[in-house]
Amino acid sequence: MKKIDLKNVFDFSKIKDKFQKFGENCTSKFNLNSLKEFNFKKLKPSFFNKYDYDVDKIIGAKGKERFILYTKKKLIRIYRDSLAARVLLSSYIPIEHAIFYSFEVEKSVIEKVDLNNFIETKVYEEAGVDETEEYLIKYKIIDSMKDEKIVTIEIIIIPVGFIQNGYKDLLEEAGYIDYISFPAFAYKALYEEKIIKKANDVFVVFLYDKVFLTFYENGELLSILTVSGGLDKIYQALEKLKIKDFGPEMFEKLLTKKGVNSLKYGKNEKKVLDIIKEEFLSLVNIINSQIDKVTQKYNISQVERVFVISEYGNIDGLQEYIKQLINIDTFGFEFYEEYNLDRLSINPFLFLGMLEAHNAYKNGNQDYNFSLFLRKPTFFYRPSGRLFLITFGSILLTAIYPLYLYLNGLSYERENKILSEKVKSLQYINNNLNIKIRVLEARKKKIIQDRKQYTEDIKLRKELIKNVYEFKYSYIPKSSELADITLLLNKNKVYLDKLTYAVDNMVQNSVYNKKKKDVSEESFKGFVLRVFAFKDTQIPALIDDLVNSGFKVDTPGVIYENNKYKAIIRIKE
Amino acid sequence: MKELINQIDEFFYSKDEKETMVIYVLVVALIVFIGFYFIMPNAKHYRGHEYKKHKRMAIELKQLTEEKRKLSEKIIVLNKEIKNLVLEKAALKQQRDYYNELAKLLSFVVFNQKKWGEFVKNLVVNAKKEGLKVNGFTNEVFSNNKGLINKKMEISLRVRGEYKNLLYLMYRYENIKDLLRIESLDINSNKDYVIKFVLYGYEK
Repeated sequence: MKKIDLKNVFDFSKIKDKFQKFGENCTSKFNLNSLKEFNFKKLKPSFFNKYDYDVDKIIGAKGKERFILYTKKKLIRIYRDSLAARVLLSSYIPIEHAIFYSFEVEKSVIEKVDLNNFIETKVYEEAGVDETEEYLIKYKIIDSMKDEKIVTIEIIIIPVGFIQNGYKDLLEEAGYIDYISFPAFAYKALYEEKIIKKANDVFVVFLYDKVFLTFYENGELLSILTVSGGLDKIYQALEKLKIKDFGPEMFEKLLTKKGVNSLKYGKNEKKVLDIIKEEFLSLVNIINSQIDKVTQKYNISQVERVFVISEYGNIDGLQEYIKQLINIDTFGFEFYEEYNLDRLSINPFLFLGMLEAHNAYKNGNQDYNFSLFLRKPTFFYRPSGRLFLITFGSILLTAIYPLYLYLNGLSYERENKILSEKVKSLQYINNNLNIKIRVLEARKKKIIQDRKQYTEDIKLRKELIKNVYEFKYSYIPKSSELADITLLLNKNKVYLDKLTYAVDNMVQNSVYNKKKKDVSEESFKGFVLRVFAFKDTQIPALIDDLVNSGFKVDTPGVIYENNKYKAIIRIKE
Repeated sequence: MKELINQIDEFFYSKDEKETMVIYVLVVALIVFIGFYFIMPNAKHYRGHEYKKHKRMAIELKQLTEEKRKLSEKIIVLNKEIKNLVLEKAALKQQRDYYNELAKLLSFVVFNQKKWGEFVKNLVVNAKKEGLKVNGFTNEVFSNNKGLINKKMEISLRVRGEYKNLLYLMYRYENIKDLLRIESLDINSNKDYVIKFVLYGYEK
């Protein structure tokens, strides 16, 4: 198995360097200055901004051509998504659709008049426009005349009808166009974006029937000129050669593919090249004469660069040819070269338009925006949005207190539910406790009853035992007493006539005399003995013995009758 | 939706600033009116209802908690009491069982019709055995109101014979364990005797 050397896989020294750089970046980024530079506006949600576009992303659209420019990344790409997006949508006005007019006026005049009305009046009076048509007029006051008291006002006039109808496809798709540029004003963006350095430049556009010149002095518009007669002169001259299948398409191809580059022409084509060169020579001479005029009129010493293009695009070899003729550095219109990583075929005016749109929105300058269909502000900046905000705000403010009450109520309701659960739980617990208490009380009662029952049983048993005991031991056996009495009767020779015993004796309280009527009755418990003896001492001796034996004895008396001593002896218990 | 928003925008674009302001104020007034006239009373009522309920339930909860505490205490007390009562009951039961055992020894005092019938028969037989001639007897069962010894049977036995035999008979019966008493006695020199035996008993 092959060993993998980690050192070869990871270059640790590079990783270390990267970490160091990252650390430095972190420390350098995190300082007060960087904090000051931080754009806090970016933290604001996009719907709080008046417009939701990103000024660093611009769509350039013209017909089917659609590109998107990322100014920060310096990148341009073909754009295929919806036009209605959070990026700027720009287009441009082709030069041929514009009417140019300029006039000179004293500075003192423009200070006194309402400039817009003044210019509008001038345009309608002097520029030869159709007075029945509405125009969009944009102008720039040029204060670089050699005569310092005078300024030139360069005016671009675009028929409103063109703006309304010329971008229908875009408007149908997006509903708005953020920026419609015009090339003469759009060149300024090249300096702003530092694509070209500020210098005295002339931008030359060869149109079919005219040449369009725009002069810039150190990044500021100086003059706009048109020269009548353009590529049409070359076309007409070539037409005379009666080349087979010659037409506008061949003409365009000829100019863009071969142009004035002698290396691209064969020997038999020399005549064509000569004609083209000749015609361009005359055009360049006119341009050069215009340059001279401008340098004479305005405060500039010389034109330093020429940027040239045709309505068909770049004409091969033309830049070198012009430089050769007028001895001024001449360049093409490939300003987007740095942005065009995909090597796309880009319309330079569309690129200029995107660049200008970016600049205009970045700097908040809409002076040269020809769009009549600007993007609507974001929802909250529109009347409907305001109405929504007012409605929502009012609802919110009105609802705050009821909402507080409701939420408070809701909170109470929630707590009530918890309390209700607790109450139910406690009620359940208390019920159970009550049941438990009832059970315990019943148990207690039962125990008390049992205890009472036990106590009563014990009492009853005790009483029964006591009663039985008392019954048993409170009774003197009568047989025993009778035996004792009988013994004492025998001892004392006393004879028993009759003996009764009763617990409730009713005894005649009389002596032993049946005849005696004077008797009383007495109730008592005990023995009643009717006895007789033959000696007078025998009955008393018996009584004495009975008393001595513990008997309670009494007698109503002893009588002597029929030679017998008789007596009734009562022995009480 | 987008169309509606656009229509609203267009509507306001057609109004001047003053009109727009009036519309905004009217909207605000309408919302405030609805809020204060319709929503507020309901919210107040709802909150008030829930608040009162909360207060009531809090009091109820407090009362129930207090009740629970009291009930728990009562249960503890009851358990203690029951524990003591159980101990007492156990002690009493022991005591009762003891007395029950004692009382069982006194089973002879319990009134028993059959036993008492036999007693009468035996009395007559035993009188004869003692050499006495039985001239007659009566017996009658009464309720006795005096305490637990609540039953009595009076047997009047008329016999004739030797006095000593009478004494033997009396002695014999007075020494049995039953609750017997001689409550009346009539002896004369003619050797005719009347003895009233009373047998006492306990009827539950």
